Amino acid sequence: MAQGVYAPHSAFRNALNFLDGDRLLCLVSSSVGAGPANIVFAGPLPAADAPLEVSPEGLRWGGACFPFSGVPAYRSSLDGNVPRREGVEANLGALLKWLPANAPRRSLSFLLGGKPCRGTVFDRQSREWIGAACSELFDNDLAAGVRLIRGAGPGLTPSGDDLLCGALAALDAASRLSGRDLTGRRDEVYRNAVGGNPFSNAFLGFARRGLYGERFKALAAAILCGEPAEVEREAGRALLFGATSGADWLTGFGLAMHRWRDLWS
Amino acid sequence: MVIKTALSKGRYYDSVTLMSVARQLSSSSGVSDAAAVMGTQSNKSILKASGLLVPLFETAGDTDLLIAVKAGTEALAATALARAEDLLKASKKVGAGSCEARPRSLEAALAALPGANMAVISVAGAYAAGEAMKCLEKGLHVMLFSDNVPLEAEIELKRFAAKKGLMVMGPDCGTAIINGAPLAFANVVSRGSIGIVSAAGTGLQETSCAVSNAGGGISQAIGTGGRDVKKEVGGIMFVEGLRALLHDDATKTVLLVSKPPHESVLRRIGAETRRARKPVVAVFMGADPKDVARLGVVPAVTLEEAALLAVGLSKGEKPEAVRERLALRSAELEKAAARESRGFAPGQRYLRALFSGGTFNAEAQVIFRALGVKAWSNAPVAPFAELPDSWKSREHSFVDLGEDEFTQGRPHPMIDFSVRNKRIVAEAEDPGTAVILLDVVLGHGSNMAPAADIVPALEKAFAAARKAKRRLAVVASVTGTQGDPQGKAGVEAALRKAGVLLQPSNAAASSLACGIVRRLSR
Repeated sequence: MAQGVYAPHSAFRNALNFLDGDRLLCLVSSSVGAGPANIVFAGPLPAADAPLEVSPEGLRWGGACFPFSGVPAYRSSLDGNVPRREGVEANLGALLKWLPANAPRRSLSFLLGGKPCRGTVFDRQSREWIGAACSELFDNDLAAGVRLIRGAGPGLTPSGDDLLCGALAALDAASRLSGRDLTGRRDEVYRNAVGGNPFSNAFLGFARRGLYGERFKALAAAILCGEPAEVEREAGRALLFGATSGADWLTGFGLAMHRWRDLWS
Repeated sequence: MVIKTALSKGRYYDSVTLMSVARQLSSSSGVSDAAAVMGTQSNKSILKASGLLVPLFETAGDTDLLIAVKAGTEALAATALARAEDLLKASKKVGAGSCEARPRSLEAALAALPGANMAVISVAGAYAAGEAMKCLEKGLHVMLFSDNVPLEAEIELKRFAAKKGLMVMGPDCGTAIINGAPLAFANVVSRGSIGIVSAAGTGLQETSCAVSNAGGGISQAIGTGGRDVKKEVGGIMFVEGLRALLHDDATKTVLLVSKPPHESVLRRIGAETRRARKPVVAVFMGADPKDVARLGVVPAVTLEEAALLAVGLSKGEKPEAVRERLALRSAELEKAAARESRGFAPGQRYLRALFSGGTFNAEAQVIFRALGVKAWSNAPVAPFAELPDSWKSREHSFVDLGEDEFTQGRPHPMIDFSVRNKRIVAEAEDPGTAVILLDVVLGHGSNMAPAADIVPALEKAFAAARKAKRRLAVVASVTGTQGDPQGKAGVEAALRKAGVLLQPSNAAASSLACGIVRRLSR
């Protein structure tokens, strides 16, 4: 967690977001959980109208001090999870089967065969756009595909960006499975994915570095080292992240693991 | 077709809000398409493909909000665009929809929350029993909020659950507090050592709030649904709940709340209470206290008395001490009734009770019947007669606005005051009405701005009476705590300011109202 003074940026029911330049910090409720930019707050979140100062000792916010000593720290990377290669095919298969049946219909899970909701003309055009962009990404020109996907969809972190975060996480997983250095591809995805949205940029940056939010880390660990039942359970938890964010991330992760199979199998 | 658009620089919303706004705009009259997105390059391209891109949007960046509406006429498009702004503002209000996805199946929910051991079910009655059985088979306790569940299904569910050591709260269970968590219509009460089993929803709310407001606390509050204590169901869950509390170390005093249970159920309850090692207080609304005392419990006549007895017993007080305090309060109420019975026009002598809580309706009738005067109700307590038309009062009337005839196609009157507000004014316009008796129920699930919703109707009612040169007395109680989202003190202050004669409980409010009309009947 970088030291600095973070200005209030936006407030949602379960998250207060702060920015210091392009660095993101989020005070979140326990229902959101730990993550590379998250400080989990016990109890209801107070109003966010004061800057948040991070020092080596702790947080200073609205006249109150929250020392770090004694507070458990969350480790965002998959380090320590030893991949079990022989189980990954079955685990990935479980995810690809489970997700379309359980993901929200407004999510990008239609890319894995999920039935989408009919929606507006705009929704249908969005699906066509993302479908074509994914074909470009996986079948043709990676950079062009990423540029088409990035920023597609509504919300603070658009669905396209969540999908790209999932794809970056898949590259981290592939690297751990195969031992190959995939930094070049991760950088290429990241470079073409970042834009003018500091939120998406921060999350894409974490994903490029192999840093995960709690639920996504548990899902990735289940894919790499667990059993199909564990994958379904963790996918169920990850799915409940945001309205469609969890489903879009899982779609990106599953799709990239599947389409970039040559990188890890 | 006309396209209307709006661009807001640096305005952020989560995706569920924007998707919801777009969906609601699209379904507006005359609107053929709508979008609410951030101004990223991809979104601008998709807007273009959808025929919604306008030159203004070309200047937008990734952090700008774009709203576009395509409609048949200029006016329809403008209306929809204005609605978008309202919807976005509403999404910022406390209690607006969650931004989390919902599991689409029981299995997905259990996968997401593997430690769960209880399910709350609120689906159409025809499907509720099936869903409840699925949950019981998976080892989950069930709170069945749904009503219209067939009696046979309720019996089957409860027998099955009892065999597995599980609870089925409901059907038609509107409130419970389990391990401190308020479920459905429930209040924010202190935790403590008093456990409640209730076959009456608002009865549970009134007693749990009264306990909390009197300095006590709730260990568990178990609802069973009103049919549980009838002969057919046999009190299966009422007795299971009682047993659970008698074995619960955190519960030191037990409080039972119900309309009079069937004789066979009373026998089963008595078999447990007679050998109980902790004090048990029971209010079986309308039952003879002497009969209730034979069960080995401390009997109470009103919900308030039951709650105060439970608090007193939990603090080592004798029941007589509590009853003495209530007797003093009754004397005060008599004086207040004498004061408030002055100034009515000749012919004004009737009580019109308009309740959102069914238990309050029953409790008020129980108190009123001591007058020995005829009264009517859409949910009568013996010996009163059934109102031929629930929508129209006659003589002294007690109306439960939570009954089916008032709620079909509408939210419950604890949430939506509109039906009762109209009725308040109509009663005030009736030359025979002297007193209107009301309940206001706070807590989770209830109307979030009760004072703001009811006060205008009260003002109209008082104005109507004044115009006809009559006096109108409005007597009410507020069920809730200061911890409730609506805040009890603020609601009470607003009602007092509006001219309401406010009492601390439904029992006290009913006693005052009855005291006034008793004097007018002489």
